[in-house]
Amino acid sequence: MRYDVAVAGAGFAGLSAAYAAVKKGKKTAVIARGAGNYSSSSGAFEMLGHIPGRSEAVTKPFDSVGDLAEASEGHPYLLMGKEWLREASSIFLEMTNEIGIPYKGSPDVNIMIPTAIGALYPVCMTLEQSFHQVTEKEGIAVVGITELQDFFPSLLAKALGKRLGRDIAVKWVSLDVESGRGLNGIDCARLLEKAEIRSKIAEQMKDGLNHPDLVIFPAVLGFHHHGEVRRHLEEAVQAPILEVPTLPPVVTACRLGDALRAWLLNSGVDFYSGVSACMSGADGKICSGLKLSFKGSRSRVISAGAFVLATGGILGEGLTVYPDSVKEEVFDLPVDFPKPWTSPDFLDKAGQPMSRAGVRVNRRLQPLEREGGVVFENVFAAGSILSGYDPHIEKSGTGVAFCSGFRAGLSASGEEAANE
Amino acid sequence: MAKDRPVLIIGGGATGSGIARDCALRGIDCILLEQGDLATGTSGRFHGLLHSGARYAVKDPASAKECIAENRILRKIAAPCITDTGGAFIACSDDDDRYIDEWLRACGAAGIPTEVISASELRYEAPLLTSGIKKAYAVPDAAIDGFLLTAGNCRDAARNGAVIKTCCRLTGFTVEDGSIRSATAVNTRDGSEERIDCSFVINAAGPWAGEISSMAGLDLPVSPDRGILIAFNHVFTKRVLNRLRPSGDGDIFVPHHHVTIFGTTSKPAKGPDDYEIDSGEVMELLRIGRDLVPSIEELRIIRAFAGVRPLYTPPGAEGGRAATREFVLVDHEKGGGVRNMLSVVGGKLTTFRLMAEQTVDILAGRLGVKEKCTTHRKEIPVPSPSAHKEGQALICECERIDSSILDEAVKDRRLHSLGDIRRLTHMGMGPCQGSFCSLRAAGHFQQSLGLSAEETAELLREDLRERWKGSRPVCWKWQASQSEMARRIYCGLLSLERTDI
Amino acid sequence: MNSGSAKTVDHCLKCNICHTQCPVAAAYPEFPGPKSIGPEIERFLSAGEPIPPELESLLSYCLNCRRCDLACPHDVMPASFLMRYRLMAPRGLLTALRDWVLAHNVWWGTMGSMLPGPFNMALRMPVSRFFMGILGIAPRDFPEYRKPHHIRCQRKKGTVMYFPGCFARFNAPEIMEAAEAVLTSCGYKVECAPLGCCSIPMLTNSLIDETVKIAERNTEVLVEALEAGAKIVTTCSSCGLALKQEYRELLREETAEKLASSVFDIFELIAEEGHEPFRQSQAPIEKAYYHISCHLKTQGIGAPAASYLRKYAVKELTVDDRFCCGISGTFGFKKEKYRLSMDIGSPLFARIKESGADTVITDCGTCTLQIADGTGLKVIHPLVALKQAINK
Repeated sequence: MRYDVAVAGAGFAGLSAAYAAVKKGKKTAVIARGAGNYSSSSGAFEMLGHIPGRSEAVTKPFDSVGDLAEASEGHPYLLMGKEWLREASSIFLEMTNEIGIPYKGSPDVNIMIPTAIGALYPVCMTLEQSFHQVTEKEGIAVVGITELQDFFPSLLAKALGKRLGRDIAVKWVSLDVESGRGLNGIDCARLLEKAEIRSKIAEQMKDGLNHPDLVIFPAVLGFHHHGEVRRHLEEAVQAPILEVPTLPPVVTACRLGDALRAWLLNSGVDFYSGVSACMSGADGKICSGLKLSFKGSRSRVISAGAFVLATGGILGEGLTVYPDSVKEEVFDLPVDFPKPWTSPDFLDKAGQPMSRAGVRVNRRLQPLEREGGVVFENVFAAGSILSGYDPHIEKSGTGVAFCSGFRAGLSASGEEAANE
Repeated sequence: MAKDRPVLIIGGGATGSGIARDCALRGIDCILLEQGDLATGTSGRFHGLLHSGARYAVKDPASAKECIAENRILRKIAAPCITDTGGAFIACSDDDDRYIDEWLRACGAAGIPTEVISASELRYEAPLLTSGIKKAYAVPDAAIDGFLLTAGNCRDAARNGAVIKTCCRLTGFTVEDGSIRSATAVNTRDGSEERIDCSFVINAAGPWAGEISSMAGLDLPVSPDRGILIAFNHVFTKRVLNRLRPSGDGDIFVPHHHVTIFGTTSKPAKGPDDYEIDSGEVMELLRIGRDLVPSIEELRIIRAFAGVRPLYTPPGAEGGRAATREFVLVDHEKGGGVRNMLSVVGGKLTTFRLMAEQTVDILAGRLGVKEKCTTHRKEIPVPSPSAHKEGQALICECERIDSSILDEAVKDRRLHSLGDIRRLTHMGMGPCQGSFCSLRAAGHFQQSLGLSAEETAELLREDLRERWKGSRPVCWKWQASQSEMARRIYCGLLSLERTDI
Repeated sequence: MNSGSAKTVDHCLKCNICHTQCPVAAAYPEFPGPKSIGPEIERFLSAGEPIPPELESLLSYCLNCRRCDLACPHDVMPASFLMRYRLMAPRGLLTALRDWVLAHNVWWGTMGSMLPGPFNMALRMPVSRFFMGILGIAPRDFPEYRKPHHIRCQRKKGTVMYFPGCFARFNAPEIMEAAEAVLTSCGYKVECAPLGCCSIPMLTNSLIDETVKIAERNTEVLVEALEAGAKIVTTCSSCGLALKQEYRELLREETAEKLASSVFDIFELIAEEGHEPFRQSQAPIEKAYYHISCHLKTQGIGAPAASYLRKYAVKELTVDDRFCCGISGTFGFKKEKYRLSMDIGSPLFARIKESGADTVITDCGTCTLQIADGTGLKVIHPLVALKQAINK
């Protein structure tokens, strides 16, 4: 099987790379062990929320990118350059339109969205209908669903209320479903897509809420039929609704990843799922193919002109951590392994060294040898496999995933990005 | 000596709580002070093994005899916190044959029953075991939950009049005319201080016993000795496994609830709470473990923790593994110390009740109390968390704990940390190490107890920081991925690191 | 790599991705999802505890669609645990009998395809339906039995040994016909495997001994053909998955491994070997929906038929692999599961309707029945859709 571009990894970075390749008319394959792990991200486009080591939040992400140099010179944003970040952000917005879930916002300014524990989280773009600056709203109400085990409205209301200096009302509603177990975000989202259940919720919400300026709701406003669910409930309360991510699975993120994947599949991308991949061979610095093993039985080789490595970091298992080394699983690329590996405080605002482990790349996102020089000419890395950043403390996960993913996809398609 | 002043017991581990129970059952008024939560010292940092005594038969026959006797007693009085796993002593191909014979004789002499088991039977039960088994014997080892046991002792003590104070650390004694009159203590949560008048002091502070004694101007030679243990993600042997050889490191595997505990090591500790572990120590332990479980390095470790043993080492005595595992009762009246303090040092959890009995026998004599010990005859009201109720939402999915179980655990006590609940229910002790349940538990308690936003955030922060201590030394493979998941959730989704602003 | 052994329980990070892909949890809130009744229970069982009673009754709701296995980024393979636990779940006598009847479709099919007219009529009669209802079989239409298409069967002579499976053999001989035509056009000499059922319906209905016997026999015959130089080809996704994966898990023998490494879905084979046995169809389908069935997806070969369909036989093709049709072989034929089975399939039916397609294409036999039932549309195999495009 011969492709123009083969992407290893079906997380957000991998899907973004595939998107770039499809836009350039390339025959594309996406190879993955499982469904990508985007369901534990927030679903918002997080460019940059915090500079590691600093307490205050970033208000202007684009302008603040340069400050990342104090924590990490090799940060993917610094490698790719600010101009690319701006371009990628507008491509991202176009993409969301194309796949049917339009986002809104700009890389120039962050809005603060509340988290499930009432803290504030800086992001620059979210789903259009959920794009609200909570700090500017006066009458806020939080709605909780009794069957949803991962969301605590009174905790959110108390903590957020204290932070904003105002009283926040709490309203409980019930899906009135006998499930015999606690439900998670996606369970509730699917139930809300059923008209009878939704109508009951709408009635309860209408009843208890007194014309708030904003309603905070757990991220369960439907999965595939988000628009319909949102309209119904917003109409019932006569107020906009802001969705807040619950514990994984985070439905706001599932929607984005799912929609992009479905678009790619329908655009002719071949998805090979449930397989593990490793390089099949190389001719000097040109990688020739990937060997796919299906659960240990017959392996097959996929050859391609270029490859994107987006297999995830430690969480995605693109990197396997051993007690004294870290291995990159597909190409056996050299990996940066920070020492010490961890810092004693789990909540260290400087981040955790281990999150920064990964493959070092040049500006074109080609993986580098330890002594410098590219390992392969036709391999490009993207997403959390990259070294030099900590997405959790920086709040930069989706930003790096998309900006590096799309760029890697372009490079793999033979295109040069702006400032190369 | 004023009889109306209570006896002060320092240390809320198995020994201290056992002493409190014994006192209370004999009508002796007592107050127990524990600086953390119950059983957060050595009693919460051990294998979880209820010894048959076979391990000590050769080197410490007196200790072995005590173990088997107490083993039998505890099975009767503390059944809810004991799982009858049985145990096996396994000699591998390299182990010394003569030692096997010596051991068999010693077990016989100590009254510890041993029975031959075939290697194939063992390997059928535990397929991961090495094929190099020379000889194996079954013994009446069992698994015991130190937290539940200690909580049970305290419950019984409290029901019979004792006062149990946790998060209460001793800061000094007032000694007058060779007697301790009172003690001062600080509440570690709110910093408030109090003075406690007492008639007698029992120092059952484990590795801190030396520090406590020095507050009364006494010298008690306690060498803290440290051992690390690791918890594997699942039970791969339903039976306790021991190496049949002179006691060494990495000798014991104990199935405990849904994990397997493996250890331990022995090295002088820097102090009574020398708990920080580096991954090198874990790697060493795993290398030793390969003997019994060749594929041990492929298994997932969810946590590493350290325990500090208080070894009594008077001048001239040997330390480390050579030190006696027998316990020592020091009456400080002898040698011109204070008249009203006893220190009880050493020993092991299996013999806690006996240590308590002997201690309280001396105490009763001094106080003129005639009542004899009844602790071996009465059942300990061990709190046993009920099984998950059908239909209730799960807070901890790994261990199937629902909110009613949490509510039961927090009844009649102040909630200081999620760890308090964890120790009584196993919440957060599964592979995710609190990644999901910490938030759910915090959210639930915020609602049910009406906690403030700051209190709830502090519960969460404290819990995750605590869990991290156990993950750091084993932060590789899936546990590294799990830690990244936990960071994704608590920093990447919740921004917990920003809540202390 | 292990399949659902105690060791893969160590891989689970509780991320819930498997749960997002479970079609049963999506339709039936009481079903706790693959994470709970997979690796979570396994830790309890390893410690010698029983399956929690509140979960025992829910085990039979697992479809064995394997989407959870596919979704897990960490190789936990929850479905493999589930399949073991199902065998431990108790079953009433009538239920066991009903399951036995459904599992032996190969017998009814053999008879039905010998005398299709009378057999089909008998199945439709009210009295038959009445008795089937008592037995616990769902009140739904059975597929029409048809006279089979014969492909010669001289062992050791072919370069392809074709394993058609029960649906193609007894209910859709046009699939076998088209398969023979395509393979012949590519230059292969086609033999039909002298075998019956792949035995998966027996496996999912807890008839383990019989399953193993049939699997062993099938493996023996197919490996013999392999050793004579043939490749094994399937046109049914479930049969393909059985030969590639389920036999390996069941039998744990070298022969099963050998077999698995030489089994191909027909489109997988022609794509891999670079054949193009098609030309533009004279009568292309205007708008079609290609449903990638669960068992095709699980094979990890992508959906090789899609590009051929697009190129030669369909003007506007919608491709989607996100939805399960809900029938899962015999599951949807069980009276107490029928409603749920249709509920599980309803997002798929809605998606099909949304696409505006008037024809649905899918590789799996029972998916064909379910989608026809749920949408009222014509449902055909990709080979049949490409029938007009095959080079002679």
